[in-house]
Amino acid sequence: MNVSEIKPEELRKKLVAKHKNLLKESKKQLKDFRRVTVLEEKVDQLSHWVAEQDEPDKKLVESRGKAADELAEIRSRLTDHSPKRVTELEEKIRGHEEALKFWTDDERAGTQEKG
Amino acid sequence: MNEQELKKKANALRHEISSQNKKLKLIYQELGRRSSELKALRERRDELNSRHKELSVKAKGFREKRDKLNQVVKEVRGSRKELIKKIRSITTDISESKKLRDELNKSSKGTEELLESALNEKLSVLLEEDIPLKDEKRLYELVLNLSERLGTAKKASQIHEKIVSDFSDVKSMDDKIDSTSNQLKDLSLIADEYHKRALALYDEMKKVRSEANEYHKKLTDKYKDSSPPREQIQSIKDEIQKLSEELAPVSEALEKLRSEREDKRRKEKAVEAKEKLKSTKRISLRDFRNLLEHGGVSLSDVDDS
Repeated sequence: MNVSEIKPEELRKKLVAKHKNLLKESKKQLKDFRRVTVLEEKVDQLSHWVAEQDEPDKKLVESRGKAADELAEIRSRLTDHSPKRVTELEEKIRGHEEALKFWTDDERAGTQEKG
Repeated sequence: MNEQELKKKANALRHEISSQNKKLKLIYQELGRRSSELKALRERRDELNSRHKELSVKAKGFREKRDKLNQVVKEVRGSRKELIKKIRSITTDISESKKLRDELNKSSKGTEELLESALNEKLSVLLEEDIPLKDEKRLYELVLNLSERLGTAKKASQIHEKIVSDFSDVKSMDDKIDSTSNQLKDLSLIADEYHKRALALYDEMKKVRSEANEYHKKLTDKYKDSSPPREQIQSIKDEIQKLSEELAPVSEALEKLRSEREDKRRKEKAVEAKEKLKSTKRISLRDFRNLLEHGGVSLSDVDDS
């Protein structure tokens, strides 16, 4: 992009691309968070069932192991594990969607330029 | 006519012939003198004509050189005029460019470097950082504004470079004009010099022509003066011829008389010699010869005696 000749539509396209990217990232993170909740519950439940049995079922143990591994992997990706992070992500997602709507709305963008 | 009268007449004629011959001689001498004078006049006239021709060739040479130089001067002046015209045009462009550049600088409100730095910073934040929409909208406007201003600053820079380049061109052309003006001055001086030399030669030619004409007039006048003597010569020759024709019969008659007298004398001498021979038997050789020729005696007669 030639910085001395930046066109409005060119800049909007880049903003759209930025927000698409950030939205995708935020959604992925939120999905991970939700998956963590589910996996924590799953691991907890499976651990309770395994503890109840005198001779734990192989399939149950295996299933618990897989869930625990997946949980560990997701946790390693997440930088912030706090519950308020979910709210933040949901707000971010809303923000990006709003921004996308704004920057892709030609009529409004045209008005913005003229304004 | 008797012998004396014949002699008198012959002498008179001979005297007259001699007198006419003397006249003729004097006339020939005069003609000779005039011929020398004519030769001198003709030679001088021809010399002057030759000089006139020589001067004419030289003058033509100077005139041609002058005309060639004047042509060069005309062309050089034309080139200089074109340069001046070009300089004026470029100077006008520079003036307009300066105005435009200053307006653009005023509009850009910053240098190219500062604007680019600020723009890159804002653009980086806008496109890479996760910021609220209201901040994005503000930065969006700011980036577009900075970009526009940067474009304006770049344009002002380009125009400034063009101004500097044009100034340099004008300077070169000014130097060329100065050099051309000096060249014109030198060429004009030389052309003027050739012109003066040609004029000087024309003045000299005029004088030489005038002098040659004078000599030519003297020559033609002298030719006219020569004709009477030539007419005189013929008249005198005719007179000499006439006198000679008159003298011829007189001379013949005198010769005849003389011859007859001589014959008579020799015959008388022969008779004397014969008589002497008869008497003394001794005569001179001359008398003997005379006797043989006129005395009716032969050698055989002498031998017998």
